[in-house]
Amino acid sequence: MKALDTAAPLAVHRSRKLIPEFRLHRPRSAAEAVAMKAAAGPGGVYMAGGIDVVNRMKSGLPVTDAIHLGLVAGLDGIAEVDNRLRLGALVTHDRLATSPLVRARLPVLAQTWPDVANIRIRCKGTIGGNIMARDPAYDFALAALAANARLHFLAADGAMRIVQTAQPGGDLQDGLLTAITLPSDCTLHLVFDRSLRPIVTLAIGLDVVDGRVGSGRIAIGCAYTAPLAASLPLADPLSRGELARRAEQLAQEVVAGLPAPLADHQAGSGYRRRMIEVLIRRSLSAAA
Amino acid sequence: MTEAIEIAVTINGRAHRLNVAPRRVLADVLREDLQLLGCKIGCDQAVCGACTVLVDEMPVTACTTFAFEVDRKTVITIEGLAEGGGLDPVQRAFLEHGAFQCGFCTPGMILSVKALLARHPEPDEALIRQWLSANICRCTGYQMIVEAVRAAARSGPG
Repeated sequence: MKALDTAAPLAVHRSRKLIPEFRLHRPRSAAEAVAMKAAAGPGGVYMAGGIDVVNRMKSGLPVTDAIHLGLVAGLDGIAEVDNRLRLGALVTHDRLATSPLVRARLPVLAQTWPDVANIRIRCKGTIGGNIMARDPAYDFALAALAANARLHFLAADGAMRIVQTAQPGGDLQDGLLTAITLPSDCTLHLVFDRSLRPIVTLAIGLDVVDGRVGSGRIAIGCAYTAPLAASLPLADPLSRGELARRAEQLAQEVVAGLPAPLADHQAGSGYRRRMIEVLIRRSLSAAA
Repeated sequence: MTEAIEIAVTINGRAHRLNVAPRRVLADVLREDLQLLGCKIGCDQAVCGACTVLVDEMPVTACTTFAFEVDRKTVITIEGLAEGGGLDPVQRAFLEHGAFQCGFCTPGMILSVKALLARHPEPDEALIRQWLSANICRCTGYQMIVEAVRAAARSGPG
């Protein structure tokens, strides 16, 4: 049966006893961290909060070198620069949820994040690690995709490179994500729907100018092997009322262009596809 | 591979210098090296909360934190709460409200509550339940735990 072929295992063997021995590196700067990662080769990993990395090591991730970023200064700031919110890659989920600046500029993030994961993970896990893990169930990657965020990498050659969230990492495998920037000038309208987690999660980012939605992105979590982004098919800018009236049609158009979602023990592919459509329609209506 | 490294850490008010292998998690160091057995290991996946300890006053899963990460930090385990033979107000409230049965989750639960009350001295029930959703109890059904937290909040800091 095809569904069983693609199903994730119901249980996996995961234990701290499986964590391999590794070389520990504790750089003091981003440049030093990048050099250590490049020298370590394919068995090297960056480690920030460590929630994801340690759990992967418990599942057998063959790490030879851990580059721990805990002593690297300057990567945990939250600031507004040129109409963009600049979030250091080492900002924790808890700081994102409680930052007065985030609450003022992108209040939906501050409203959504107290419900993300649990308090222990929010206190330790970082938004940079959340993106780079490319785990389909992680939430900040969705926010970044929906917001069309820019990822700032320090590359192995010492240059700073800025990439869009659709290709996190890309050819920057030894590069270090240092910051994420999102629009903060009120043109970005974000909507989250986590009500069907862990089957499907959704984030929508709408670019609003003079009260009209000119473009938008839909980020889908939990339904594919990695977070997936799709563009909102808008030929012309729409008022929010027009967007709400066309929500059902737009949702159908988006879903028609998506690959088949995963089938696993939590939901079938067809059910996930149907729920993606429902959540898009609901979120577009709510955005109005 | 990196040999054991020396870390300096204050645990329950006492300064320690420990040699730890990088791959060892904090829970194992607390339990095996220091005999602080109140740090329980349940799921070993950072989910159940039984291994919760406070690191620089933040709740942390000791099963998913390497020991080297607490270098130059302060750790509090359940053994560090009672002072001079007197229970901490949260411990007392759990006792008075029957907020535990088997007790396996209780140390992590109490330390999570300490962190909650440090940040929100007067939490409402929704906030209490939101924070304690990270600590799994399979015995009590949570109602008495919530009542204990509200009582501890009313009694103020110990």
